[in-house]
Amino acid sequence: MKLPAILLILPTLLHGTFAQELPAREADELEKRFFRAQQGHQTLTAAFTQTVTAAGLPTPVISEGFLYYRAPDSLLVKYTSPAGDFLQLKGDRFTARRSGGEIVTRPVEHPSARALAALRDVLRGHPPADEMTRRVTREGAFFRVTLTPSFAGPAAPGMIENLIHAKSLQLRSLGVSLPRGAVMTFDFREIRTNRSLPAGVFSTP
Amino acid sequence: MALLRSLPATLFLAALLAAGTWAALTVRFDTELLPVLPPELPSVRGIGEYARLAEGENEIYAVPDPALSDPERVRILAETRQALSGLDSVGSVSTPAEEFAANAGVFAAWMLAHADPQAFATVREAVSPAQARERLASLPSLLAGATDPLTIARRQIDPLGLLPETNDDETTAPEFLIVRPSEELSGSADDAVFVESVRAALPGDGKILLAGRPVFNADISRQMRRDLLLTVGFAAMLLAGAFWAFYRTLRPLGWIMFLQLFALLAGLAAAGVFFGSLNVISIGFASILLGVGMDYSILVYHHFASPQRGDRGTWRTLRRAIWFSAGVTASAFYFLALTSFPALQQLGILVGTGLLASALLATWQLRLVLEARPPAAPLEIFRASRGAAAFVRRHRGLLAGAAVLLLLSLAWLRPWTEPSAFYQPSLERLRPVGTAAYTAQQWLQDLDPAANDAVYVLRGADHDEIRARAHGLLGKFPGTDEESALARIPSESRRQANLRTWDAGSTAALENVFAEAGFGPEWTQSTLQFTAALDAAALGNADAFASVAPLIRTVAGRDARGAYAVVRVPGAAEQPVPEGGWPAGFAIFPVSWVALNGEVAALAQREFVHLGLAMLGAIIVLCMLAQRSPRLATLNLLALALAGALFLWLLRLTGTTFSPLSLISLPLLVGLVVDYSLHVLMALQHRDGDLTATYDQLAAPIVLTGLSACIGFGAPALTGQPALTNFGMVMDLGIASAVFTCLVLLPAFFPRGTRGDYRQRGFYRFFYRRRGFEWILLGWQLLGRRGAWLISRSLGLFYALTHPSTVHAVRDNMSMLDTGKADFRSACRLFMNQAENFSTYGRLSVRPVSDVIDMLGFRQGFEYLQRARDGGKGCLLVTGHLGFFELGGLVMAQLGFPMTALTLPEPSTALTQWRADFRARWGVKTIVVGNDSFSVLEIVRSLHAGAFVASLADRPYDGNTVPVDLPHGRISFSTGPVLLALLAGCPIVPVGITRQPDGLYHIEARSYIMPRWQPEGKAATLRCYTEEVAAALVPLFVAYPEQWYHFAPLRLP
Repeated sequence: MKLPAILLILPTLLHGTFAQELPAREADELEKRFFRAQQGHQTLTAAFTQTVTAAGLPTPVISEGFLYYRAPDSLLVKYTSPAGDFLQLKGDRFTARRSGGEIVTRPVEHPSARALAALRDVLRGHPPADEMTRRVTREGAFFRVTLTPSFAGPAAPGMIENLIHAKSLQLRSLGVSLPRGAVMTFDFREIRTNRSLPAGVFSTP
Repeated sequence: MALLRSLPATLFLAALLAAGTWAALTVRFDTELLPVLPPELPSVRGIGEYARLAEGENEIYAVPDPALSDPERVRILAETRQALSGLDSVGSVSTPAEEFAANAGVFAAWMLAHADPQAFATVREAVSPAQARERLASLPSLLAGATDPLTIARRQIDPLGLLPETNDDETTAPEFLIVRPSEELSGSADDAVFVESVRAALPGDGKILLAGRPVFNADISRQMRRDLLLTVGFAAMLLAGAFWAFYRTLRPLGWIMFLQLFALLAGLAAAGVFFGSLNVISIGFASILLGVGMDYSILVYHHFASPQRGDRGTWRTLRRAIWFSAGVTASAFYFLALTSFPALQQLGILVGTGLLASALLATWQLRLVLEARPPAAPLEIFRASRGAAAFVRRHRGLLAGAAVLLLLSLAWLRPWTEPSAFYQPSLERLRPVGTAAYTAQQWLQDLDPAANDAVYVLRGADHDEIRARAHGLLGKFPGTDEESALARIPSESRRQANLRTWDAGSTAALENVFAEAGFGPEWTQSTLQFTAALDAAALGNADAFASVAPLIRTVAGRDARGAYAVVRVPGAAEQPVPEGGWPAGFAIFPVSWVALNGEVAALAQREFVHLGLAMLGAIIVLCMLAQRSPRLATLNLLALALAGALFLWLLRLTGTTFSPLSLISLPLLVGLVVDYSLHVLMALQHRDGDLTATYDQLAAPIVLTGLSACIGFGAPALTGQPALTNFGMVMDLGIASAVFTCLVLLPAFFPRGTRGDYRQRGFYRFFYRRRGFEWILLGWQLLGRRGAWLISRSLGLFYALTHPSTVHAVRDNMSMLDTGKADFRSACRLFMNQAENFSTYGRLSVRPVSDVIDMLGFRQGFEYLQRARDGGKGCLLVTGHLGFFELGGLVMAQLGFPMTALTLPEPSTALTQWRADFRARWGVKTIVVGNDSFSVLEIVRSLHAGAFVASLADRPYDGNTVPVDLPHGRISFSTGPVLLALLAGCPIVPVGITRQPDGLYHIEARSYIMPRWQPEGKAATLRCYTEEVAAALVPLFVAYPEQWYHFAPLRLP
């Protein structure tokens, strides 16, 4: 439910040095640059690895897949492992298949679509609206942006960590801390922008 | 100190002081609305039981404004939690979700223990080591792919997937906080301290408020005390101002208020003795007493401040009026004790007792004070009163016409067919607003995600029976997920069967499985809690589910009255009563104000009719006792009808409607109207319809008491509570109607000179005209004999019932003949006989002249008449106002006697002429007697010509009379007939014509008297023969007292 809020963090793009906190004014400037950069993307593809860890869970649970975006309103998160799962936004319609179950279609306002809708807003270059505490540090070639929602709900993320490549302003890693101690991490790679997308990629799988 | 000089008066006050002080110190203030409603109503019971189940005794709820956004609410709750957690007085702060989550496993175990055996078996298998291993092995696949945080959170609680999957994709922010004290709260003082400490620490500028039992107890009762003081204080201040404006003094008001305080203490004592508490409605008794009870004191004060203070008769009338009006009003309130509504029962007893005390204090203690030091009212009051009286007198006809139109306008308002235009039954209007505690409670309801559910408390011998019953209830709501609704109802039989199959060592086995798979307590805790509870239950441990007892209590349980369960029907909150009514055969208690509205409205409607009729009967009886006159009692009822019509119009014009609370104003208004009308009518009666004197005595005090009552009832509106504002408005409109009706409209219907000569009364003046006799003739032609008989006797009875002073005169006259035959019924028969005599004119007119003989029955003493005729000098036939004396002349004329009738001039020349013409039809001549010698000459000339001249002797028209004895008194007899006989030298024959039971008329000539001048002179001669005539006639009067028609007092001193 609050997963989308995590993605709102992405707008904060920063310059700096490793483990060195960026002043607020510079952070604001970089945030603007980040959104401008996103607005220049007509398409975006990336491969990702999703990892779920939690205290008391014997081993991390790993999943893999691809992300496809086409401006202004199509977004697909397609899993290759486990194959068949996906999350898709197309216009004002949200479609998903989870854990190999049946395909479910909901309006974009539905709580289960919030996370994906928030990510789509970021890719469109729209700044986030939720109130969060922001901390930006420079770690070598990356900015680490740590966002803490001012007041967390029962299932909302307690903290969000983004790793952003300083030069390309690309999001390379996203970590979400959940209330009961579990953490979901997405590592992005093979990020391509403004390339042609496979035909029919947004038709319902 | 006049009061202290009277030991009984002082002792009475001391007793009231002691009883009232005891009650004031011990009486409780009930803050809840529910106890004011009939406890036997299903919804009252349902709401009450559910409130007891859902609310902890010591818990406070910190509730945020539902208008806040989710993040704002989360923030304010976090800040509140932080602020309260540091308080010494606070033991714990949590959210409902946290409390649930902490023991979710135990609650799930309780639910499963009562579940369908098949579902139970599935879970039992799932926790077996083999299946548990299998399920844990598949867990990573559930956390992979397009999972979401909610799924992960759910699996952390339930890694084996024992709980049913839900479609609930939404999680909600915490709604409110539950704050528990660090120590048990043991009384109101503890409640107040705890609530204040928590309130002082609240952040959020009023965006988070407190609810819960301790808050209501500490908060509302304090506010009720404050409101009570505020309204009484404000009312007292306004009353003082009004009193000063009228009488330019405050000293007597001090006494009045001082004594009113004792009336309040009497009411409080009644509350202490009968109830031990004051509720949110009966607390208004203080201002009602202050408003109404002061009437009596002001009336007494005005009497002693007026120039008539020494008139004992006026004082006795006033005291009697006060006592009867207090009795009537108190009776109206005491009748409320017969309702099913505890609030009204309480209010009725309190106010009724207070009113009687007020009347006693006003006519006893206050009188002592005022007699000792009589006050003097400003002359302006009397000038104003007389001006008002003159206005009302001048426009009497206009006012009477307006009053009649007002009554007729009821046909347009139609309150009997459109009661909804005047009454809104919603109980929402009774709920206090503006208090933080009630606002918080409202917020709590708004935040409740199940606010649209209809909730019911079902009861039975055990839960299996309740499940069966719930099935019938749920079936009444098509589309309801019955399985889900029934899942929360436990089942003794299933629990027994399920637990028999449960392996009590499940927890230990499962711990091993979790350990083998490497799952830590973060993932296993809830599941192991779940199995541990079932293990304990299977082993017969009574405390297996103790940790979730408060939660289970809100779902189902068992108490002294048997088993109960709470059943919810989603989406039915606005229509909790199923179409077609409740399923038959068992009791359902809806937890619904919507259902309660319907139940209260139906009950109120039922009781309203019964109570209204009983009250009306009591009022009629009491008014009759007070007035001792059906006519005046009828005027009391007329005042009620007029005030009611005016009141309805004022309600309509101001857009005011009754609420269930303000309905209680009806008996009060009835009491007020009766109160005012009794005073006005008794004063008018006492003063023989003199409106000026009546206004002198009553206008100012009634206006002032009306004003004081308006203040008394209006003051509670200061609290800003809609219920009290509406009540005040309704009462003020009602009081205005009562005052206007009784002071302005009612006197227009009180006949002037009601105790004077009947010939001055409207009925006589209107009907005793030529047209009246012509209507009689027409009526006889149209209605025939039977119809005319019925109508005429009914009119006679109506006249008797509406002319008490005339009846009084008639009875006094009859009592001179026979004291045993002078009762009210005999008098009524006399009036009916006279009416029938008038009707006989119609009979005579439609029949041939000669038929009059057929009306004659027995004839006696005709030899005297023959002897007189043989003498050739005419004869004076002397009779009294006995029987149908007119008939005698007609009959005798038909028998060949040359008849002449002597009459006094009638009220109109036309009538005199009409009656003369009527007699002439039978050949009877008429001579109208005047105060001149010409008529005497004419009579003597007629006698000399041999005429038989009929004359009446028992109602002299001039001063030429002789007192004659009746068996029990003396009356005047006219000497005129004897003088005429002496002048004409003719005999006198006393004669009577009386009606017999067979309808025929009996003519009896009593003697033959030949007057001769006596040597003692004229006076002695006249006295001698007049007494002889009287001696012949009086036995006839005595024999037929109900045919002796005298309507003015005849008795000589």
